[in-house]
Amino acid sequence: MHVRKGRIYGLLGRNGAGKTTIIGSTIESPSFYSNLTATENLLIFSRLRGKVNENKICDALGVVGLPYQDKKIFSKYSLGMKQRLAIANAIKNDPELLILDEPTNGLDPIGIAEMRMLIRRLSHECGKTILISSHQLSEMEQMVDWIGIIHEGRMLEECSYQQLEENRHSYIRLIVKEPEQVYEYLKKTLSIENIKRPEASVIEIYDLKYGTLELNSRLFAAGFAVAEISKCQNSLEDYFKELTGGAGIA
Amino acid sequence: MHNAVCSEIIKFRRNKMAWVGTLIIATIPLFMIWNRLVIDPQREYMEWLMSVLMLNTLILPIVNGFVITSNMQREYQDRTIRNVLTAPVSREKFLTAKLVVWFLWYLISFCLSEVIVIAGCYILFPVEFTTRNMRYALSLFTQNNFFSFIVGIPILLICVKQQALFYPSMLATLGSAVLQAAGLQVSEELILPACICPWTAVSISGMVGWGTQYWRICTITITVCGIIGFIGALVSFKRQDQ
Repeated sequence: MHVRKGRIYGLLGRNGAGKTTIIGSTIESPSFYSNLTATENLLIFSRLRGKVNENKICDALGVVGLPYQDKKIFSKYSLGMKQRLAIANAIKNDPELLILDEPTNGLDPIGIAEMRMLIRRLSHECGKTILISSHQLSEMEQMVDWIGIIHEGRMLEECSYQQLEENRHSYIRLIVKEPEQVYEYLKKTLSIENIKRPEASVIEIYDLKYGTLELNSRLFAAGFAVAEISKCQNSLEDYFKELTGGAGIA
Repeated sequence: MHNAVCSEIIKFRRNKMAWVGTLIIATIPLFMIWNRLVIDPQREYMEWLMSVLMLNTLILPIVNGFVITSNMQREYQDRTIRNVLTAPVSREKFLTAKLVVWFLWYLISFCLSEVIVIAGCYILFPVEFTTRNMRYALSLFTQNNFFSFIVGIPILLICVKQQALFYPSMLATLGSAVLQAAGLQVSEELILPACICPWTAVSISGMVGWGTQYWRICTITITVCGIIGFIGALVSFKRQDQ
């Protein structure tokens, strides 16, 4: 694994792929004293680490948006607040590397968006290097700079998110009335090689020698009725399936 | 070690069971004062003192066991033990800090109880309220309470072993309290075996004279029980992989 300083590295894999085993740390289920406040909890764990600096505790709570010296006890917190407290606990000693295992697990959409913003802020504003493991592809897409795809305990691919974007295939998706004839026409007349038919009336063209406009004109000229034509890109999930040999994300 | 003890103090301050326990311990002599004033005004000084001691012997170990059970069980139930086990703090220090703060709470509680007993003696028995009598009463209660704590240490071992459960240590606590109370009723023929059993030895040590052979046996038995309990808890905790 190559985790670059100051970047957000996403470790992606199915349930049981070995993500948690690899990183060996977790905030998947935040564990704090339910009858104590956030400040008291952080104070206890700071003391156990032998570094008690109340200013740092205050700063850490401020970064994650939780109040300092609040009287609300941990058991009254929402899951999102619990996750943020877990991050505050992790950053209170100002570490360079943060390891977050499934930080958005169980959060509602707003909680997920807040967590995403927090993680980005930690990286971009506080300069933290962050390693996140998740099986939520859509989340990873919106957060990470680098990505590692793990399957059955093996790292299958490791690249920047930009490279991943480039690796994802673009294709033209057609919905036509006479798919058989159109398929033959594309193959024989237009000499297009890489064509797939995922559904009866749907044709996917991966050989992009013609643009959508030109292809539509040619099909129209040949007398075919085109119901829909669009340029698409493989989703990260499709790419993930391709890499793992068909095993989809859980 | 200082930091570990401070952490435990924060937890104990918010431990409702500890506050309730202190209240119960203080209520025993208060109840007995009320009992002497309202229900049984004829009761003699020594009889009253022994009644307080008997109630104390029965209730103190129960409250003590419940407090350490709630304190330890919370660590496993809230899964905070995972944060503790991954923190760079030695497990010996963590458990020792628990023992120290547990003892501090116990010390404060039984001192409060003893102050109320002495105040009760002053109010109820002004004639018997002499330095000699109070010294005897204090030494009797202090020894009994202190020994009772030591034989309660094996509860810590059960708490470590039972993890998120609570009933094994509760049962052991009740058993320990019953044995301690039974020690007050031991006949002369059974005094030696009772001295060897640490829990009955707590009560026996208060009945036999200081420095006698039986007292020494009781002290050794109780001390060994406490040491074994704590070492067992340490070994068990060190082996634990939460």
